[in-house]
Amino acid sequence: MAFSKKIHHPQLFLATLTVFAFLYLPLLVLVLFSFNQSRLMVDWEGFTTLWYRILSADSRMLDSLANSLWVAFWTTVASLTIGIPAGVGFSRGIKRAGPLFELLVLLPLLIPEIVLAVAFAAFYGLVRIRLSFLTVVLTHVAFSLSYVILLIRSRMERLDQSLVEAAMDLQASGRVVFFRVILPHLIPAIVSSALMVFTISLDDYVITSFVAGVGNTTLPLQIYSMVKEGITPEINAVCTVLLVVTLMAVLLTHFLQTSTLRLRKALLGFCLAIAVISSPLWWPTLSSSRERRQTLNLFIWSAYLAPDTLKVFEQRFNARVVFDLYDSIEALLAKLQAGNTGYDVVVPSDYAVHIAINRGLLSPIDKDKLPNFEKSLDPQFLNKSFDPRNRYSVPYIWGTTGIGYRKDFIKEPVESWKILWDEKYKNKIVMLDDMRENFGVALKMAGFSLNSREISEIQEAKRLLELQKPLVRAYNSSNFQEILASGDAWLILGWNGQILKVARDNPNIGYSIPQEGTTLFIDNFCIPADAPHKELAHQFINYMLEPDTAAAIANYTGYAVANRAAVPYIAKWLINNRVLFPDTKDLEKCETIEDLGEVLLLYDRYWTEIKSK
Amino acid sequence: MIQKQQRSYSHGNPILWIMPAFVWLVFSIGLPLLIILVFSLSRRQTYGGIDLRFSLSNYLRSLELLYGLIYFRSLGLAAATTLLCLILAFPVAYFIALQRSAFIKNFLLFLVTLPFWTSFLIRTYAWIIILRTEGLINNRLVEWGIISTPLNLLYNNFAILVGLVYGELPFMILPLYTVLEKMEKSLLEASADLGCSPWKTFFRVLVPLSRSGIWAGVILVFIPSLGAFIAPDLLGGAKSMMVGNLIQSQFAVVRDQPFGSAVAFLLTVVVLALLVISYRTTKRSAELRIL
Repeated sequence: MAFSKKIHHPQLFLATLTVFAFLYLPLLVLVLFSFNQSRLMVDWEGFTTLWYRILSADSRMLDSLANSLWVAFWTTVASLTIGIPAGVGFSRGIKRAGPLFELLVLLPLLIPEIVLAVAFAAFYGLVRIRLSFLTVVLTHVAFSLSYVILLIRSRMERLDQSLVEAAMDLQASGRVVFFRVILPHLIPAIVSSALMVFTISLDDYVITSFVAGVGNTTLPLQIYSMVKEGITPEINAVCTVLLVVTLMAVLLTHFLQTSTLRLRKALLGFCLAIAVISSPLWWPTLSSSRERRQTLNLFIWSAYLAPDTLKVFEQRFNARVVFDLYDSIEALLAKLQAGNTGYDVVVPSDYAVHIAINRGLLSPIDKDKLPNFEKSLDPQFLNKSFDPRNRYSVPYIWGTTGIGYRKDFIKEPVESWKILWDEKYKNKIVMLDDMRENFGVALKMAGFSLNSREISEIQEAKRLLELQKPLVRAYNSSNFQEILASGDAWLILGWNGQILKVARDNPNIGYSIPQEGTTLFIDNFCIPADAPHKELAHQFINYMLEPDTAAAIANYTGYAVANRAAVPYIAKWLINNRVLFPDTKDLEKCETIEDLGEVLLLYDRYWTEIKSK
Repeated sequence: MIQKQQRSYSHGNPILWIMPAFVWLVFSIGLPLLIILVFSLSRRQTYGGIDLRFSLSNYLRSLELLYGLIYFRSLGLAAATTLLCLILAFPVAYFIALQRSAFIKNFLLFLVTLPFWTSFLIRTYAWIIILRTEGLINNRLVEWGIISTPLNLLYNNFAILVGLVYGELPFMILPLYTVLEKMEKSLLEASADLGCSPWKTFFRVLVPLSRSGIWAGVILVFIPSLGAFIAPDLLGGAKSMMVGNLIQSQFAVVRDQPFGSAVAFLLTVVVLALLVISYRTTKRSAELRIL
């Protein structure tokens, strides 16, 4: 390679090398941890290929990767097709529409992603376009186009006019000038913008989560929805595979271009063979719409299912289940609000049920069709304030917010929220990055309801949180369990499910529900108002309430199910685990978070004030 | 003058060239944003729905001092990110542009973007492993006896800056490369022959000639880092609010879409104004310099 020859610009070379080291250092860590024996991204515990084996059997992960690659590919093709002529035309100057066009090009870059996301969801809802693969690509092109146009235009400004004139002097037509002079000149910009667009599309999460339809879970959606249970090195493995495959593809392409004809044919054959062999990976995403069986579309938080939960249902009811994962309540609400999503069963948590009921987004549940409702469910989780007679919601999985702590560093009992205000533990405390959970802790500590609507009580909570802030090392809702496991924090406010996951591997990690009471969260089955298959949806919910189905889910996921009848079938070590199934007396003072309507704005104002100090 | 020359080779109206993109952008960006503009002039309903009665209260609220501090902090951080990216990206882009083989050029460009074909979240987690108290950097430094107590690298502004610069760097390198690639080497030689120091050549010749690429890069880096919130949260510890967080939480937590939309529009107008003003001034000073 040219590198082995004399390097002409040693300083430049050194600077470039440094920047590449900066770019590749995290990548090295990422790849390394894909071979780590531990489930956490905390310490190196030995080499294993376990995560690659898990990945090879994980058809959902591979499907989402295929989805992502397809979206990125079509987005790149479409953006370049529309963007290149636009960039060329733009650089030649357009009179009246110029400033307007310039504004339109800049807007997608200027507007924060979340705003664009909500705008797109509202727009597709308004014009009644059903969310699908097409809407995802359409949206990605909309925000990628600007990158292409900007890059092409800046390259056009460096076009050597004399070349164009020479071509014209030689009687070349406009078309010939474009294809023979301008396009070759643009190639570096085309390569750059293609790389950019592909990269942006492949990694987009916020906007995609608002515009993806049934069966369009992309890799980022899959990954973010796994945050709640803790991300495993399987993700590192899938990223590593993607890196290696693309690197090989690029080198192969180069090889093809420079090789002799015969070698080229051989390589082409090889690629075709690979494509045929790997086609099962692509095929399901392409052929999925052909089947005749009735389909149930499920929208759910991740990991709330056992491996064969859906398979058994499919066989018993001769139906097919398509499920998508989500990790943001707002994406769920926005999609339901826009309507026509095609989902038959959704799984929102407590206050989201309340909002969805109040906005008329849910369909009442017909209890006559759910014989297991009375038989199985634990009355502790029924008739909660978010849906008093369970007219719209059926409780499924529940959990608590509490203090995760390091037994090896905290020698006193962890019984009260007050420990999170203890000066001794300054910089060893991590709180959830969640407004309601923080106010909930402060309100409970002061002896109030965590759904308080009293201004004086909320002010008191604000004062407490301001007092606490200097002690807090970080606010984190994503990987707090890893912060605890790594010892960067000794006390964390967190959700029991994630803490249990690290406590299983690390006996020094404890979990406590303070005596003042805490947040109880309940995730529920609901049926959207415009669900296409309501009958099947009822059958599905009833099936999920069956004791052995529910127990299998609890045993596999390590989450507590709100199912009394399932208890005998749940593994003893889970039932006896107080993190998962606290004593009934611990639950007495717990509350579910309610939507507070207008009062929420006051919480928000105070939270902003706390956060901007 | 230049305009006239360019017009002379055109076949067809430039309007026709941009028409597909124009129509696409009007429908896919213009109309959705019009909806958001309407939202920003509406009121929030009790459960977070949109009450379409006209109101300016969201814009008035977004001008309060409390939010002003957040805007300034975010602008400062975005400016620092952009500057750092520019400093780091220029030598890389130039080095790549100087390569003779087209394959090496494209391959290096590809290597610039490759790290970003992985998951954003996992890359950020990797930075946490590198920066935390018992992380890669601290452990090595302690091991080699350079420091005795671990440095505080995580959960501060330094970590936020690392995360932002890391994420935005390709968006500076790629546009710079597209203009530097066509640089006339003879101009640099001429400048050196005429007795300019390398620095003077850099600022007087290289920078003015790559102005359009610098601008594209600045836009592509400054704006996203202004709205960024996940990296600042995970690496910075979410202890101070950025405008990205503010908008995000209005949509995702408080469900006050009208106020969130108003902040977003205010931000857009301010950034547009900043861009236009600085573009004009640099253009003028560049012209003066050439004269």
